[in-house]
Amino acid sequence: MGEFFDFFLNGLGLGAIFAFIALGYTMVYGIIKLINFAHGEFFMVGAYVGYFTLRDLDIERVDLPQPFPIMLDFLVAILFAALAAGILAVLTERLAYRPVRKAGRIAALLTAVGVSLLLQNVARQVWTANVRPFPDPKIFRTLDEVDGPAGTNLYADRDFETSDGDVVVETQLVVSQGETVDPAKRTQLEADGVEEVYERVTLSPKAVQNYVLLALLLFAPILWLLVKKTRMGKAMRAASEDADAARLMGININLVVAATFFIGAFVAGIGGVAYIATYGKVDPMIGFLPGLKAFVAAVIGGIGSIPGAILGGLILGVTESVLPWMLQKMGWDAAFAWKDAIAFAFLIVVLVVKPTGILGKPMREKV
Amino acid sequence: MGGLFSTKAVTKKYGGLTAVSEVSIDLDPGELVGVIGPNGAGKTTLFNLITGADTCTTGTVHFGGENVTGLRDFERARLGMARTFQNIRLWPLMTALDNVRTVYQGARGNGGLGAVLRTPGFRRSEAEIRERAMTLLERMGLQEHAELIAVDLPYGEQRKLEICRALALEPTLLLLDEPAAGMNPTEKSDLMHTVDQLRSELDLTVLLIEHDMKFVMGICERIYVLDHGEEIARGTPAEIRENPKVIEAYLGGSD
Repeated sequence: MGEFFDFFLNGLGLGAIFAFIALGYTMVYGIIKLINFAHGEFFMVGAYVGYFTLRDLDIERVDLPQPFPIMLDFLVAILFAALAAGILAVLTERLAYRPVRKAGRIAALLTAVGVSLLLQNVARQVWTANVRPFPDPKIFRTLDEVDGPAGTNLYADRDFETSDGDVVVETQLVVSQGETVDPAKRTQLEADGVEEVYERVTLSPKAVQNYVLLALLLFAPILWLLVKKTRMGKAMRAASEDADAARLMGININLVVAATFFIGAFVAGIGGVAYIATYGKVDPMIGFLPGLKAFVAAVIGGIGSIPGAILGGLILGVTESVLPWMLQKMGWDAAFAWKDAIAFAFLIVVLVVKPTGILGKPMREKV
Repeated sequence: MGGLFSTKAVTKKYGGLTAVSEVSIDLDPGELVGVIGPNGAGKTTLFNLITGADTCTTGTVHFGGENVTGLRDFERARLGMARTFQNIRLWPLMTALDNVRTVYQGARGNGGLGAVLRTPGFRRSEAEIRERAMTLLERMGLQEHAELIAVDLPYGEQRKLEICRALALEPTLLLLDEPAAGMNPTEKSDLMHTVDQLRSELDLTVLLIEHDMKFVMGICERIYVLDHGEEIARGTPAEIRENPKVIEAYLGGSD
């Protein structure tokens, strides 16, 4: 039972990431009936921006008691990731989708596929195709603060000159766990130019899972309020139900569409940071499979429905985690290798049983 | 110019087809004017050109002393040009109240941060909007349907709700596209009465497209007749009734 619960929670954490991405799919589809295949790439770019924020900005240096610096570090990374993804989405909509909006849904869909491939390849050129490990948050210490036996490994970033004469920064283990920083060690460190060392905080997967779930729990109601209660939300609903009528009733559809893209990608950017923290890596292809699965989640939940996207994401995550575990228990050793196939098979089953998705509204035709 | 609204030789061509050809219309404030013509005469296209749903190939549209030809549809709507549709175009899954309220809200901007933080100022403006929307619904006798989903309303009520929604723009020009379509004679005469009443109470200028001759003749002060995209006659109902071109267009010509 305990083991089941672990897989269940793991699935919820995973599902929360799908939900974060699925929300944007569903919102954009709801308004302009476009399956925005580039949405996974907004997520990927968000993840990269989050990665660079965590790696390079050293926000952890802020002078507050632990764990606030690390929390702040993540909050800023999430904010930057979300903003970057949102801005990218607005630009994409303006430059690529709006010009073809009147050309029909197939043209828009193909444009979306094109934008997706374009962003993937640009990311590969700009950030290389290398898989980058997740930058663990750091706790900085001056040498004075580490006098005595070290409780953990301590690292320092040092400049090295390569054979080409370039200067690169490299992380080096300078004090191993258990080693004592005595005057001799200290002199040696100072001679090497080390003034400051840091501890790397490895996040436990379970803690990350819980935080991701918590973030979803916090964010979902905000989004719901935004759509149900604000004027922009009402305009979004009006636009999704009849855009032409909305225009002629004084609603600026272009603004509504841009806002929808922004909000959807903003949320995906949050998911991007959640993803790299969960999987411990980032690369230019991370938008592809999670993006596709989030789309599946949106369809399972009923595309166009915001609660549906969240429910669909969670259900897909749990299915992907618990179902292979159960199958493995039943004697199928390779079940986990088949988890993606299982997820997509699940989509087919749901669509056969309920073609509009779990919370999707059946089409209501006007008489 | 002088009038409230005019089109100057507006023309719309779709490829080789001319849907509307050099149509000029003038409306003075407070007038109730009809546009009639057989099917395919270009009446709805003319409405689309007026509201900016479609762009003129040539010609200009003037509203309130301004040339609005270059303005987008939603901008023209905000200037006080509201319309209803031939085939009802409500937001079907919203409540009747929300259909009306959304238009008020759209005209007032999105409330920005105030909407998220639900500041007192924002709440007051929301309460005021709700009250206004309810007043409009009451005026059209729809107050009991306020919380019903639009698509669940009876057909005639949906037509009225569409007028309500248009009035939420606080328009000076109301464009009605076959408002009485599909209504029975009683409903039609009710509607005729309501439109006339709204016009005087709200200082509206009304331009309406209608198929039903009796309805048009009974309510409009002046009538324009279109056929094959061109104006073939204009005048008072009495003049139109006598016009041989109109009779020919309606009672069958070569097509």
